[in-house]
Order: sequence, then structure tokens, then C-alpha cells
Amino acid sequence: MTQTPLLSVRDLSVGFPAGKGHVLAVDSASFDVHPGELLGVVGESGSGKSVTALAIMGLLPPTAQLRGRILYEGDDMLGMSHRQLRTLRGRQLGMIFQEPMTSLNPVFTVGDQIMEAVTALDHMSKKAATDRAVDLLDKVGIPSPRRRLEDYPHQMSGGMRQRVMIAIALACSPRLLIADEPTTALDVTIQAQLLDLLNGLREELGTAIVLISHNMGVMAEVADRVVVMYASRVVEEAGIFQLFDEPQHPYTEGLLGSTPDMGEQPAGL
Amino acid sequence: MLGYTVSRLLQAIPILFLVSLMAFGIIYLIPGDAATVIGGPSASAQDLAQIRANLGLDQPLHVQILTFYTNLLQGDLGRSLLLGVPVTEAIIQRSPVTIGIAIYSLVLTIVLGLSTGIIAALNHNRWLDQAATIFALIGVSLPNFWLALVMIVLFSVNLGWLPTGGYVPFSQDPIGWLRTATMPAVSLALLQAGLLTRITRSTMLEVLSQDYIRTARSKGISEWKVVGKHALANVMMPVVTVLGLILSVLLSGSIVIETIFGVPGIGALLGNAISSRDYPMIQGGLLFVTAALLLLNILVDVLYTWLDPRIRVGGGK
Amino acid sequence: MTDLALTAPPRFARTRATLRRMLANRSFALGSLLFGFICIAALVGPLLVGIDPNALSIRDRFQPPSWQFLLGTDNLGRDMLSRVLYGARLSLGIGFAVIVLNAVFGVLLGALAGYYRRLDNILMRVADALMAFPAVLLAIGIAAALGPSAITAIVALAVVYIPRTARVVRASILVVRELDYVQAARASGATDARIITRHILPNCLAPLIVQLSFVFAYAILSEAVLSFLGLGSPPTVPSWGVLISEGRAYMREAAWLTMVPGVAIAITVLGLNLLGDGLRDVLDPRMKVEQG
Repeated sequence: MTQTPLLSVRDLSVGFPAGKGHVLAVDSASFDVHPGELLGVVGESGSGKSVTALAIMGLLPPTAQLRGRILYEGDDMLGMSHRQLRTLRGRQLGMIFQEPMTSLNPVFTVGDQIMEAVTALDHMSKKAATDRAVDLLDKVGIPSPRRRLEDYPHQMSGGMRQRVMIAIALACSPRLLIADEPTTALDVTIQAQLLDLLNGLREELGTAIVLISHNMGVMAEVADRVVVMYASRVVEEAGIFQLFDEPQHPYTEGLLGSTPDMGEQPAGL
Repeated sequence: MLGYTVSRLLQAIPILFLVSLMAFGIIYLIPGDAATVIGGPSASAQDLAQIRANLGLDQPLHVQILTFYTNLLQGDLGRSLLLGVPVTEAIIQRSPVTIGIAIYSLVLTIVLGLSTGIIAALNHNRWLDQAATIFALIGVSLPNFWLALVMIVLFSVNLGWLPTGGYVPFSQDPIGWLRTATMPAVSLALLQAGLLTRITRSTMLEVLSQDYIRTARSKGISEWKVVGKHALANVMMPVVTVLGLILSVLLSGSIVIETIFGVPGIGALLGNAISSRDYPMIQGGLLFVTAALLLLNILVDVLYTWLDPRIRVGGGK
Repeated sequence: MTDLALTAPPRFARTRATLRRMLANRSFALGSLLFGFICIAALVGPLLVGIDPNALSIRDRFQPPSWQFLLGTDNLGRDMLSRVLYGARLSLGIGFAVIVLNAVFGVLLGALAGYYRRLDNILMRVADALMAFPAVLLAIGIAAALGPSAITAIVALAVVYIPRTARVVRASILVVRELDYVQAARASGATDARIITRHILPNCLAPLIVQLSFVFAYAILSEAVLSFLGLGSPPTVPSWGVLISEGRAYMREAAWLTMVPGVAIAITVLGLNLLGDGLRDVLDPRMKVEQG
């Protein structure tokens, strides 16, 4: 890879106070995300994947202690002001969370929540914002989008809500999308549809995606490269084929071993 | 929603029936002969007979109950022994005063309680949070009538800012009303403000930890909007549910507070009735205030369902 | 269903740990300190001071607090320190009587309602009606009919708060009665009385204790209101509410007459509220108490 990375995480450590001392949730993690690629981050729960994602978004609780650097196009995000971070979140980054059932505010309509993301940093007319929201819902595959704008989250299924979440994340046409276990809470057929959708969006919009999952099978389907995290550390970073052919770390081998039939069609969809 | 309102009103009927029966029964709690107690030691046998006849105590119990309910259904709560006017009339005449101060006090409670609770939650475990928590605890621990006396000593006697009591109707002189109604309203509000602060703080803390708040932040909208729109909308609902409780505390507090400040509302009316053993007025006042609160509670519940789209819109999956 | 689920949880083994957690809880520690101070003052104070709270001394009328009269004297020259300490006995005594009645009848009615479905409906409708009245207003109504005395205040406040306590007991019984070990006890042929007293009630203890500490606080506050309106104890045996009511007439000249008993009430209620908060945090973190 000769391109300059879009995002570069360097020696990132994240600690949380616990009792009298503190625990390290992420320990000196380093990896790069290149423009337009789909980087998978795998690891078991508690390995620091989600904390890393939230650190990139600047959404960790104020008690978190961060060290190291997170460079977005060369600028260190950890040194940015709240305002700069907000602007970055509103223009360059988008995030999809694990729990579609609780990630949308129950008292506002879906349309309101999408339009809010659309107009977060750009002033535009109500009509323009509505059109954009309709456009986004259409893009994430929600039928008769104009009508669904008036729906409240509780009127939609989990899969639909996750599509809405993707629409919100795409509202600012981000260059980097972070998806934290976006399909874990959903059933298998919906999972496949959403992965298809994410992959299609990447190709269409050229958005780089960091896909976090504990499922090697998912990675095999969509990832270009994979970062493996184990016990708060990055233990391996490799292209998807290389990873499946010659896993370097015993934990990676273990992961591959638990999904035996996936190695056969690594790029298949 | 109309169906819900109607069903809540229907549910209130048996409770209202029991409540009225209890209010009716209070006169039977008087130890010994009620007429003697009401008439006092100087009453002659003729006076006593007159009192019994006025209150219907010379009738058999079932006739008394029947009469009570026949009158009640016509809005007749009996005649005040002290004032000589119908209880309903006296209450309705006095109610604008009490309602005015109650609304003033409610506004103070909500503004003070909500803002303190939210500030505390936003500064969780920092000194502002501690200060708000202490304020709320002290608020719920002070007797409101004592607070009223302290305020009179401080603001009327020592500083001379406000009159020690009395009342000027709002329609006559809004400034005068504000000068006379402020201390009663504040002394009524502080207790509930403490209560509301505690509830708002814990609800806000819970809401702020929700996933949808994180989603809102991830959009890049201002923190002001995250808290003021996304969090607040969800905090309001649990807060609405305690409105009924707040109103109830507020109206019972008004007896003492109106008496202290000489405000001519329902509270002072009842306070006078108590000291002069005017039982029809006590019964009628008790029943009236409780029935009003039952209706207000239903209103609050309906408001709640209207606020929550999960109930209002339905069609949940 | 494991064997463990068929026996009641080992409560006494945890008692020590619970006690340690309580003492580490700041609310509980501060609350017991404040409330303990007031209780000791009520018990020992009158003996230490040794002044008759009703001893008149016209020469010493309206003495502000000084070394001779620590909390000053009233319009008849009576020693305020002594009166407040005796008042503490009465106010705390009334509060204590109210929570004892609450414990007895609240548990009895709550247990009957929670355990016997048929009684539940009737008892809870009556409780709903009693709770529809604003608490203090109902107490005032009852006390106004019964005539002023300390017993009146106790009865009126008990009637007001027992339905609220019974509801708390009932709610926890509804949960506990469906648990495995209670079902097992029933299946093995234990009598209802035995199931209720041995298996169910011990598990309602935590919410009950929390509830009672708040009822105590409300009783102290409401008793002061009743006394202030002349519906509580007579002036010769002054509770704190009576003292405030007496001092009211002399607010301009002798503010300490109202300040002192008011601060006493505030300390007691604050202590009880802190105690209740601490107990709830430690014993029953999910519980929410609402009172009217």
C-alpha cells in the first residue's frame, strides 16, 4: 500500500478508572485505514474493539484516559478542541452502533433524526433537508421512504432501524464509516442484506469502512484487510487472503479454526 | 386516546365513591356526641337539637347517607356552620386565589427542580452535583410552614422588601399580587423543587447513558442540542408522572401557608374551619380538593400518553 | 432448576457484609450520625439539663441565647433548651409510634393483599381511596374530628401512611411468592401462615425498612403541621410543631423561639432522609419511594 492513510492510529492506549487503579481497555494499538478500503477489526468481546472505535469518534466518556495519537489526514484528533471534533464528526465521520433497538431516540420521528444529521453543520431549507433524507432512506433500501419519514423508531423492525442508522451515518457523506458490530443483534438473513448494503455503499460512494465484528465469517465476506485484537492489543494486521492462508498469531488461528468452512471462499458474496 | 381518557374517568368513579364515603364518615370519628363537640360547652339543649337537625344527625344512618349522596350529585356539600353559606359556594369563591398561587408555585417548582436536577446530572460527581444534591435534600427536609416564618422574618421584618401577609388579586394589581403571592408560592415550592430535583437528576443520568444520546453526539450536532433536545425530551416523561404528587403536596401545604400569610384561599378557609370545628366545611373541602386532584391526575396521565409516541402512535413491533 | 434455587437465599451469612457496606455509604453514615444525635439528645438531654420545661420565670422572659440560657427563653421565661429536648421526646415518640403501627398493619395488610388474590382487590381499592387524599390533608381531617391530642396525631398519621407501606410490602410479596423456593415450600405442604412468616416476609424486610425510615421522616414533618394547626399535643407537653406555633407570635422580638424547633425538625428529617437513601442504596437499589 503506497497511498497515504486516511486514518492512522498510533500507539493508542485507553484506560478507565476502576476502583483505586485503572484498567487498560486498549494497549498501544496501531493500525491504518486507507481511503475507500474496508478494514475489519476482529476480536472477542472485551478485547478493546468498541473502545477503539469510540476513541476514533471522540465519544468516550470523560473519565477515559487516552495516550498515543489518532491521525485523521495527518491531524491528531486527540489534540483537537470539542468544536473541531464535532465538525469532524459532522463532515468526515459516521458511525453505526451495535444496538439498533436502542440507538434511535424513541420520542422523535425517524425523519427528524435523519434531517438533524443532514443539517448538523450545513444550513439548508426544510425542503432540501427532507429531500436529502428521502434520498438517504432510499439509498439504504427502505421502501416508500417519504412515507416512513413520519414513523417513530418503535414502528420499525430491528433491520429497518439499522438501515435508518446507516442513513444517519451517511448523512454528511463521510469519508470514513465506523460500523461497530452492526449486524450482531439481527437475524441471519437481515445480517447478509446489511453487509451487502454496506459493501455496495462503499463501492458507490468510495467511503472507507471500519467494520468491527467478532465473526470471522463476516470478515471473510467483505473485508480487504483485517486487524486482530486480543486482550486490549493489536496482535495481527494483514490482508484478508494472507490472514486466512498464514495466520501469524495463535489467537487468529483459533478464530479461523472456529469458522472452518469460511476459508474456502474468502471474497465470495 | 379518547378511549383511554374515558376508561380512566370510569376507573376513577369507584375511588371517588370510596373517597366521598370516607369524607362523609369523618364526622363519625368525633368521640362522643358530635353536636356537643360542635356546639361547645355553652350550647343549650335547643342549640344542640338545632345543630343535629342542620347536620341531619337526628336521622337514621341510611337516610343520612342517602341525603348526602343526593345532595352531592347536585353539587351540594352542605352549609358551612361558621359562614352560613353553602360549602360549594365558599370553595368556588375562594378557589381563584388558591389556583393562582398553586400555578405560580408549580412554575417555580418546575423551573427550579428541572434546572437544578439537569445541572446536577450534567456535572455528575462534581461540586455542582454535590451542591444540588444537598440543596434538594435540605429542600425535602424543611417544614414548609417554618420556612414561611423564616422568610417573613428575613424579607419582611428585617429587609422590608415584601409585606408580611395579605393578598391583592392579580386582576386588580399584578405587581401587588406578585408582592403578596411570592413568599407563599416560594415556601410551597421549595419542598417539591427538592423532590423534583432528585427525580430529574436520576432520570437525566439514566437518559444520558442511553445509546441514542451517543448516536446524537456522533452526528456532530452541538452538545446543547444533544442535552436540550434529545435528553430533555426523554426526561420530561418520567417528570410528568410526578406532577400529580407535586400538586397533591402543594394543595395540602396551602392550608398552613395560606393561614400564615393571611391569603384568602381554600387553604385558609379550611384552616379556619378546623379551628372553629366547622365540620361540613372540613368534609366538603377535603372531598373537593381530593376530587380535583383525582381529575388532575387523570389529566396528567393523559398528557403522558400524549407525550410518549410509543403509546400515542402505537403500531409497535 | 437447581437445588440451590429451592432453598431460601442465605441471608444471615451476608449480614456482616451488608453492615460493612452500610457503614461505607456516606448517606447512611451521615444520616445515622444526625438522627442518632437527636435520639440521644431526646433520651439523655432532659436528664443532663435538669430544668423543668414548664417552670415559669417572668423575670427571665425573652432572654436571647446566652451562657445561662443556651437556647434562650420564651414569653413566659421557660427554658427553650429544656422545652426543645422534651419536645424531641414527644415528636420522636409520635414518629416512632407511627412507624410501629405502619410496620404491624402495613405488613399484615400488605401480606394479606399480596398473598390472597381475593382480598387483594378489596384492600387495594380501599388503599387507593385513602391514597387519593393528599396525605397531610387527610391527617388534618381525621385529627380535626378526633380532637387534639398526641394520640390523635399518631392515629391520623398511621391511617395516612399504612396504605402506602402496605403497597410496598404487597409489591415485594407479589415478586417473592412466585420464586422457586416458595413454590417448593408450598408443594411440600407447608401452611400459608408458615410460608408467609418463614419464607416470604424475611425477603420483604429490605424494602420495608427503607419505607419505614421515610415514613418516620414524613411523620415528623406532618406531626409538626398538625401541632401547628392546634391538632396535636397540648401546649403543656410541647412537641416541636407546638413550639414553632407558640413562637410565631413573637417572631419579630424573639426569632430564636421559632428557629430552634425548626432547626431540630430539619436535622431530624434530614438525618432520616439520608438514612433512608443510604439504606435504599445498600439494601434495595432498584426501589423507588414516592410519597404524598
